[in-house]
Amino acid sequence: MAEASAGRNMKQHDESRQAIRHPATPPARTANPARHWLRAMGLALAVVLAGCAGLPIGQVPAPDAEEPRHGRGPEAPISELPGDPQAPPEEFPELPGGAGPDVELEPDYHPAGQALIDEARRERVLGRDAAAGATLERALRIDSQNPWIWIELGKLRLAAGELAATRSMAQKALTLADRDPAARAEAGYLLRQADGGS
Amino acid sequence: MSRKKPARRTRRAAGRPKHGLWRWIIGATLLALVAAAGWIAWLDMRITSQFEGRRWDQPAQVFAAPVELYAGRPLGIERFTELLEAQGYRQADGSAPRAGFWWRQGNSVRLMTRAFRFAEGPRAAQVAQIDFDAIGIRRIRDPQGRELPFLQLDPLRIGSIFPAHGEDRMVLAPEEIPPLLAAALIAVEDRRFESHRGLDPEGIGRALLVNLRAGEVRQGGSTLTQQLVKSYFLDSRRTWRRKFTEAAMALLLEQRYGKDEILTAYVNEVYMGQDGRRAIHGFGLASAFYFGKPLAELDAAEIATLVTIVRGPSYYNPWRNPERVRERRDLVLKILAEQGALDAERAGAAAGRPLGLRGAASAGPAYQPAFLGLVRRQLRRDYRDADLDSAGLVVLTTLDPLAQQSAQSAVSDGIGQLRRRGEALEKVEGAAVVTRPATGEVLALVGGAQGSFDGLNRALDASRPIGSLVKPATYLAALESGRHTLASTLRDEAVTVVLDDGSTWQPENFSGEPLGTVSMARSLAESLNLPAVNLGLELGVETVARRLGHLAGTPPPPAFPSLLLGSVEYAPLDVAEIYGTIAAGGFRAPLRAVKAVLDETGTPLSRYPLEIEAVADPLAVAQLQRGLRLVFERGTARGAAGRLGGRQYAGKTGTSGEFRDSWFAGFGSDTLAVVWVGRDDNAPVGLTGASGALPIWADIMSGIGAADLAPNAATGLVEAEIEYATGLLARGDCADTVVVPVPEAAVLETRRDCAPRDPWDETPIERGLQWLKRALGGT
Repeated sequence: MAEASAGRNMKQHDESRQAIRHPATPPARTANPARHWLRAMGLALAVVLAGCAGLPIGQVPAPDAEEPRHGRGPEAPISELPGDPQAPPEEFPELPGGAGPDVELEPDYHPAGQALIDEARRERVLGRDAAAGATLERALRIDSQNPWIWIELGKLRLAAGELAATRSMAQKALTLADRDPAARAEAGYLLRQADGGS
Repeated sequence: MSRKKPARRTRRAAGRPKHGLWRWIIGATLLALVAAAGWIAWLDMRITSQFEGRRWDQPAQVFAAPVELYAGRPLGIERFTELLEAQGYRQADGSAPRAGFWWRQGNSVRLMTRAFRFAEGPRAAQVAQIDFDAIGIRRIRDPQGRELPFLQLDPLRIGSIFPAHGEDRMVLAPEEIPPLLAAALIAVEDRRFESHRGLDPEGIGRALLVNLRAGEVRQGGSTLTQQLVKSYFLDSRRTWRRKFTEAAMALLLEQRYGKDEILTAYVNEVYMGQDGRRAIHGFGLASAFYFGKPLAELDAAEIATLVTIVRGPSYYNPWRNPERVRERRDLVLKILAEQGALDAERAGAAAGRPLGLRGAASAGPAYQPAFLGLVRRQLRRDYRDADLDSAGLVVLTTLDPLAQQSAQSAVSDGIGQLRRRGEALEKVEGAAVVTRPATGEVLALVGGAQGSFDGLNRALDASRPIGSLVKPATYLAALESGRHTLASTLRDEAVTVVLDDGSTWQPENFSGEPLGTVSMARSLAESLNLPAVNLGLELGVETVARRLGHLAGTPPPPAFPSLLLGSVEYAPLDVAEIYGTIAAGGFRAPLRAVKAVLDETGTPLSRYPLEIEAVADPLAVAQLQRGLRLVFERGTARGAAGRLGGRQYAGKTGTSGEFRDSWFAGFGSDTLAVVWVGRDDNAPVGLTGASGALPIWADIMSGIGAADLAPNAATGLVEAEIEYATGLLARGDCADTVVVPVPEAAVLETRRDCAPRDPWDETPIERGLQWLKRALGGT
């Protein structure tokens, strides 16, 4: 039997990320423009592929299917993207950092979770750490995959001098921050603080 | 008794000389007076200590987690209004908005929340409009039209920690007693309450007359004060001595306390009904018990119903005797109108109404003995029983009312169906635990098929062999060793283990001949025994035992070889801990049911914040999670697809020896559920994990609407397409393949006649076809 290096023969996990994660997230996120964009791109990709393969259009799988492994397909012109007639334009939240090539990499955290993080930060500034902790736990109930919630929890633990707990929170944030370089950096910094202080 | 003493002594004195007689009479009278004074002082002490004691005797009140609303929550309008009903919210009748009311306009619901004191501080009542679309909540706005990012409802009260004698109550302050209730009690039970001094001779006379006329006991002449005294001592014997003592105590009570205090005590003390082992005391709890909402929100008809019930909670049981209760309620309303406590028009309108009791279905989880058992267990680490029973604490818990409802009905229905299948299954029972693994919060706990039953709590106390649920610990240990991947080839061969006592153990596969070799992916998905045992023996049973201990947060179980097939016993709650750690990416969050405890003034006494601990390698756990997804795609849980509506989860079946226990543990991205099915006497039930527990598990997850398991990217892993049976790298067009994550550095073998091509050498058409095949053919 021939041996082959896994890394060479396999597609990088990272590349398929945007295609996998988004369809698998709850349908609640339709108001997010990044998701619309990805969905449209997936649809365009499916149409292109199906066209090449000469399949009847009816057999094209839904773009939400599990295994569309190709991260970067041919880009569809903006004018062809299907809009969502039900969502009026004012429903679209502002994208932090604006539109640009890194839009697809921008993690789409739940706005309600983000709002709770903001509230927790305010509470922390006011010295109400217990309330901030409770608010962050509320945020986790909405979006436990958001690394920033764990980072904020880690900061609270650090302020309380609980280094082991800080470390755990930072490690947890790191495992969730694969697509969020800023969160990675922050979690890494928190981890170093926890280790340095011990 | 003490009254007779002087008489006896007087008789004995009769034979003495005459001049001593007066002395004796005076002495005896003094003695009698002293005895009477002593008796009165004793009575006074008893009644006072009872009254004072009871005033503070407040069982801890336990609340569910508040319902959290936010734009984007996948909660439909119909389900939401059901939830409001379960929370005791009522549809508005067009009057000015009041707390606890809602009204619907098209696809929007407006409501006013109730004020509540959270651990973080008090929250005022809030008016809001919630707009829905096909997916769920579209947005939330305040009355000024400003968007709210989130809205928290006041939490549902789910019970209290009442003392062993079973008396449960919700104590109200005087200002919390609706004036109409006070007026109705006085009008119906004790008309001269405001003026008498504890006894009402006129009332007794009237009652006597009525009873004589009717030839039976129709009316009691007891004042509210007498009734209060009577209920303090829980003695219903109708002896003259008792009556006399009660009357004396009533007089004493009136001497010491004001009318307001006595009425408040009455409203909090009086017996109002029975709920299994739990005795419902006081109007506060009765309101929740009969109507599912706070006393302050009751209308005139409902207050009149409670005033009817207090007459005789068994005779006037509104569920058993609705007609009798309605008749009496209408009479109460009439009396209220006659006495001017209620205007005639309102009384007339109220009289026509149905009783409006909480229904079994709409009631929601009003009283949850199983979950309360867990709450009690957690609190007993930090609080004395006496504090819990009587210190008026407020306990804020993690219970999710919707999850509890879904879990209980899935277990009750599922067990009901199994019981109809045959004799062996007639006595089958079930239990379930639902958690949020990332935070360790217990969302729901089902202790048996009968939800309100306050008996054996199987979710906590039924420790049973977990069967194949143990296998992920073995595979995790293997993946963490760095020597194995999901593509590894395992030996599916017979094995004989010589045990310490010299005997031998020869495990077998569940069915079919050993395959010789098999991929780890398939072995895990199809729960093959021999590869798991061979792998476990290779790693060392101690290693597997330690792994299991880390996942569970408990000391490792004894490392007998039979551990590898799950002879180890755990309760469903422990299994939830083990699988929670796997679901949370290797971070164990100790399970908790209590978030905070507040004292009666709302000051936090203790909080139980989130704790997590990294106990497993996240990359190994990511691979294991993929293997557990294959259980649904290819393995023992294939059959559940129809119940899951296309959602993707990860999980594992478990079946103990001789089919005594049927288990399923599984999770999505933020919810985990564990289900056990078996018999209390541990007799075989003939069910596998897939045929017993899995359908119930699937019903719980779909009932909750648990989110899919979104695979997380993990730096350091790459995806490999491998042949399912062998684990060799292969192509989907010439082999039956699955895609699994493996470590970047892993070295995999290739199936020569079906070797994968370098993806970047393929044409777009080939890549498209590959993708289509996977997308369409994936099961």
